[in-house]
Parts: sequence; structure tokens; C-alpha cells
Amino acid sequence: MDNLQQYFRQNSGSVKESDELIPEGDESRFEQRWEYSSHNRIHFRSNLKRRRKPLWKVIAFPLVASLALIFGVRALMNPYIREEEPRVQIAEEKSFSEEQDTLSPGYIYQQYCRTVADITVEVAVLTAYMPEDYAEEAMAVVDDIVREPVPLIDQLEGVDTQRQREILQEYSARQIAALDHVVGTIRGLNETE
Amino acid sequence: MIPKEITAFYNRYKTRLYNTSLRITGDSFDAEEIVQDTIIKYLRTNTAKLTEAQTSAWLTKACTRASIDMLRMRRGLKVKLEKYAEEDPEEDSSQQWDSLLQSQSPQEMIGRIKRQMLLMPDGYRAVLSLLLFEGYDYSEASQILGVEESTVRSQYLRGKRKLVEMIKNEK
Repeated sequence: MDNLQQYFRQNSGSVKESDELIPEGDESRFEQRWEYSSHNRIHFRSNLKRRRKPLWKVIAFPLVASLALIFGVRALMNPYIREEEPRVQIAEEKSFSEEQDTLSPGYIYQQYCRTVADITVEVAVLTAYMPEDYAEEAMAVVDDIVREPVPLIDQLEGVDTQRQREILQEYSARQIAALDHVVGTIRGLNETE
Repeated sequence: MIPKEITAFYNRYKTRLYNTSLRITGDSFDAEEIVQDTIIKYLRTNTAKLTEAQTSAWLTKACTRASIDMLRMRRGLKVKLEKYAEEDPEEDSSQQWDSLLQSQSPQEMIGRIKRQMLLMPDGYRAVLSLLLFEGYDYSEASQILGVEESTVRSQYLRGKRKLVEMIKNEK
């Protein structure tokens, strides 16, 4: 320690006495800075509190997200699903027809109706190039056969399934035979012309 | 602490810290900013109660380091100190100081030294301030400044010589 350092150590009181005063207004500036830093601190803490989410939000978010994912994927896959739908329906129809009982009265009647419809269409096609009077007459004959009151059909009520089947088979065979006869006649007419 | 206590705490230490910082930085605005930063830092970090002496020592050391950091940041103190250290050491000016110190009262002489120090280059002012006013020894000053102890010694000797010249020229 040299002479100058010793001088300062010995006269530390004089050092303090010669201190300069801080410029005026420092106190208010300090208070402002303190408030500003405190404000930031409180703001930061409040942010920390906000981070704690309520329970319903914690549950709701994954729930909504998973539902959105499911429906979103479904919406995206929709075109592909639509393409497959008819195939499924055809398969269902096939399986239904395969499973259907071909001896049931309902099925026999259904087959009869289909056959009648086919014959009606065939008659319409065959008479398409004939004179109008012939065509109307042929369709009237078909109509008479189809709408002919048959005593057999009235016997359906009050009998068992086996009997119903027999009655319907007899009835449909007779009607279809009559219609076939009409068709055969019209074909003959067409060939002679 | 409530706001009034905080302001009272600030007022208790501000003058001493301000002068410490002013002697190192040589700038009143920087010094004021450093004082306020130091006290806010103390209030934020020191939750445990310290004694009066411990608080004073903590604040002084923090203020000194902050002032040196400010110098480093704004003026490249380390570069200047290293540059001076490369030069040859010069002879001590102790004899000149002896006669000068006896010529005036301590209060008057210290006031003059303070005034002249504000006009000195940053490197000299920082070293003289630490060794004379803050009472640090060479090793402590070298730690604070982040330079070799020999650098501090040579810088101190040069600062002393420059200061005595400046005081003589002032007359």
C-alpha cells in the first residue's frame, strides 16, 4: 500500500463529506422503475396462473379433437364409401333372393305378376307396328285375361299354406297360358304380314 | 416491503452508491441508472434478511461491478487496459504526491482529486477509483476488472502520475 492509498484510508471521512449529490428527481424516477418492474412481475405471475386450465377444458379439447378427427376422416373417405354402397345393396338383394322361399304363396304370386308384366310389355312391342285398331284390341284382350274374375282366387281365404300354393299355381298357370296364347296369335299375325 | 420502505431504503444508500458509480463511469446518467438497477436487483433477489454491513457490502460490490460492466460495454475498457500493460512500467510518483498531499487540507485535496478524476481516461479512472476510494487491493481490483494484477499495478502507477500532473496544471 503506497502513500496515496494510506492517505485515502486515513481520511475516509473527508471522502464521504466530499460526495456529490445525485441529480434531483431521482426518487420519482426510481419509484417509476420499481413500479414498472413490479408490474411486469405481477403480469408474469398472472400469466402463470392463467396457464392452469380448468378441468372441463382439459377434457373437452381431446374429446372435440377426436370427434373432429373421426368425422373428418369419414368426410374424406365419403367418395370411396359411396362407390361401395351399390355393391353392398346388390349383395343384400342376392342374399335376400337366395334366402327367399320359392314355394311360398307370396313368391308364386310375385312371379306371376312379373310374368304378366313381361307378357304385357311383349304384346305392346309386338303390336307397335300394327294398325292402331289391332293394337288396341290386343291390349284389350290382355287386359280382359288379367282382370278376369276367377272363382279360384276367392278360395284363398281360410285355407292352409299348402292349399294356397296349389290354388295360386293353378291360377297363374292358367292365366299365363291364356296370355301365351294371345302372344302366339299376335306373333302369327306378324309373320303372315 | 411497502412502497414507503422501499423509497426509504433507496434514499439511505443512493448517495454512496451514486458516488461510487460516478467515479468509475464518469457519467451522472449512467451512475444514476446503475444505482437504481443495483437497488432494484437487491430488493428482488435478497429475500433473506441481511445485516446493515452485509447489505452495504453487497450493494457496493454489485454497484462497482455494474459500473465496470457499463464501462466495458460502452468504451471497451479491457482493450485499453491491455494496451497500457504492454508498455514499460514507469517510476513511481510517490515523492510528488507526498509534497502535494501536505500542501492542502484532506477535504480540499480529495475534492480536487475527484474533480480531476472525472476528466481522466476510463482505464485510469476505474483503477484509481477501485484502489483509492473503494479500498480494494490489487488482487481484488484485478478480479473485478478481469485483468492481470500486474496490469492493475502499472495502470495505477500511470494513473497516479497523470493525476498529479493534472492537479499541478490546475493550479
